[in-house]
Amino acid sequence: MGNMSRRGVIGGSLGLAAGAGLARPHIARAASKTLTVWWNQGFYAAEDQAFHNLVAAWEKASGNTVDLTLLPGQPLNEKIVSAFTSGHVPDLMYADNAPAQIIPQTAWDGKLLDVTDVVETQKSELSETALQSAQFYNNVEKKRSFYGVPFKGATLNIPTWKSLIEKAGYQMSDVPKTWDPFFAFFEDVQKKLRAKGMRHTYGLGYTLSTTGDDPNNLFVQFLVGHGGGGIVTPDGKLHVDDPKVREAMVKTLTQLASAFKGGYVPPDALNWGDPDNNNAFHSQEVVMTPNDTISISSAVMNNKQWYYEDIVTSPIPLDNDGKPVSVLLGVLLAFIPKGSGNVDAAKDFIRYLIQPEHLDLYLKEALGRWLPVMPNLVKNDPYWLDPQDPHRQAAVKQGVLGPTATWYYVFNPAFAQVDAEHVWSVATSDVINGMTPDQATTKAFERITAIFSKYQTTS
Amino acid sequence: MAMDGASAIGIGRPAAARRTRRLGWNGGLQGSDRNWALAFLVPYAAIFLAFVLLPVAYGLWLGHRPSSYAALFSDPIYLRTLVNTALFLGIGVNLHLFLALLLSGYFMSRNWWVRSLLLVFILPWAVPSIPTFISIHWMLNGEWGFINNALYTLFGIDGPSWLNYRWPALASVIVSYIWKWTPFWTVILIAGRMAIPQELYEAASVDGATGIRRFTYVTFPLLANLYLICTLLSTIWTLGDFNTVYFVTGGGPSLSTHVLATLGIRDAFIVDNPEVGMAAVLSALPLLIPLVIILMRKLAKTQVQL
Repeated sequence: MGNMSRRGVIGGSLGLAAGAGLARPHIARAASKTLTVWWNQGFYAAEDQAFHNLVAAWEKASGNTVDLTLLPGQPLNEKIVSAFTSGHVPDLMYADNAPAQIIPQTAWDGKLLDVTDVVETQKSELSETALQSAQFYNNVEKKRSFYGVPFKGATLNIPTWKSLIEKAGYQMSDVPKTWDPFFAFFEDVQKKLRAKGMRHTYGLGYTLSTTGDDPNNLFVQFLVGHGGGGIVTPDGKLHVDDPKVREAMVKTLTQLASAFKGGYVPPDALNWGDPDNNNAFHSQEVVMTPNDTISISSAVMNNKQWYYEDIVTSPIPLDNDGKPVSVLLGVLLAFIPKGSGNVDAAKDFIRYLIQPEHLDLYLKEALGRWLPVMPNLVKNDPYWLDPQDPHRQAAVKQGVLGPTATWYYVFNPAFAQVDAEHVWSVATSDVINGMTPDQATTKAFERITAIFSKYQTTS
Repeated sequence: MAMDGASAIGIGRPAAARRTRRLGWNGGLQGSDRNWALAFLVPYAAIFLAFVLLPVAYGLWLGHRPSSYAALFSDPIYLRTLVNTALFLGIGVNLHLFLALLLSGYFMSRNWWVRSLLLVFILPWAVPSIPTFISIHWMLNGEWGFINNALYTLFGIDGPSWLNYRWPALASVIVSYIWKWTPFWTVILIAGRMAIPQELYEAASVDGATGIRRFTYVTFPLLANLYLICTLLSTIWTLGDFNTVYFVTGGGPSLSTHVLATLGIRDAFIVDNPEVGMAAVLSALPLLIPLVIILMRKLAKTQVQL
């Protein structure tokens, strides 16, 4: 040791320090993994807290850690699209509108990991619609498989100001049960409220804009309500040449555009983003607004008067023949991109998430805004059908226990592009601006056919 | 061999002879001088490569497929978007630069209160654009926006739904853009006016040029080159302007007010097709490239030109 030079001591020390620095993380990585997760920020704080709780519980159970990024919907979508484009992907992702906007195309392009083995762990618990909604077509491998894991859902509900109905001189029991009379009733309510000096209150809160998901959810559910449910079949084929589908399209356009032109929809609904109908409802600009999830009522849960007395949540009405209409169930999916560096940990996290007791707790802590996609959860836990709650039980009866239908973008990614291009809202605007519903239908169907021509499925 | 200063820098030798003496890749530097030069150069070159060349090359690569352009041109809103872009550029750029030219003359006044007004006038440019455009969007709301409420309160009339029809919505975008950018160009043109020698005005005055003649025969000819450069620069910037349209109208109603910059983002991130989105942006190149070339030629003039 006595022969070592100063340079040697310094060099040796630096070498040891560098070696230790490199070696320590390697030892740590052998014991636990860090899972990179990108997740959609909630509509309110409780949703985020519920997810943080779930993450903490999984970290404790697994010994792994989560590097979590929470972002609002659109910025998250942009981040995800960029990740897929560049190839630098996280381990696990979830975005509210990914099933409609991102997953169909990325599954088609073969960029998602097949997660059939994860879904299998709870297959008996998941509803039929949930299972179908997670199976997308992979055009690279020419097969349909599970490219997402279903864990929650949403359908169109109709929150309504009971207090305004009563102010107009009606009771909730006066609201008709079938499609056309149901929506026409709110036009009458508006007239009565206007007569009482409510100059800025509108009967119908239809979102007719060309941004976000709400306008698509509204239009396509109306299309189904008018008998156009066969527009795309599970084999991915388009049926705009079916006279029933065309008739439903014309009826839907007529109904929505007439309401707007008649002055029963706020003019600014042509420019609403997804939260704007919520805001319009809370400010009593509209008497009702069809909306996915029960976010409108959940957001005002602390206002007991509003939540329990003044606002009610109704299911969509029966069709004009008095028969139930299948409600489109948007199933939310967690998905793993190909290129994930921690596939095992990502799968372990989702397996943990969809264990019924964990999922039940997570959805409840998020204030029950989202629907469970496991029917047994709502049967076994009285929280979901609490008769004292005027919102949650209505949404659950409709979206979990009632007849549900799978969204068409699951059958063919072309439908996702149709939605993304807002072909439906453009057609409605065409009618508002003077085109006949028949002409607007022809124009829209031409565009839809052109989009579908690029996506030929074999199953 | 002795060498005087003039010969060291090549003065006195024919230009052709100077051109033939090339210094090589290392600029004639040797040893530690060369290492120091490289040490200073490499970080800049790496940053330029990583943050300028690579993104541009990646963007060009993303938009290189002919099928992306076929998809873009078959989109029913593309043609309307081109028209909107042309209107946005043609009206927005020219109008706000013309206003800036006029206002720059006004703000040349030596009155203290005019100078004070200039401080207030440049505020729209100084404040961040996104919150201000969002505020404008809210102010234009037909139901509860500030403008229509003011119209109702002051005159008892219901204002139009500004953002519900294509032309009022597009006009709102252009007015917002003019409001935002006029102050900046006004300041630039004030600087240009200040550089005009006072003697020229005095000489013109002796010759009887006052008022509009003074502007026509002295100010404008001397500002013309600067005005042209400002127009070129503003056109290039405006072609890539995303914020104004996105935050004032969101491209609505019914996708009728998109410009190429917002259409590109919509195609990339809403329709989930980055290649078509890049094609939308790159479809502006036939206009952009000649503009950049003209601008470079203007800036390459060796003489000072007002």
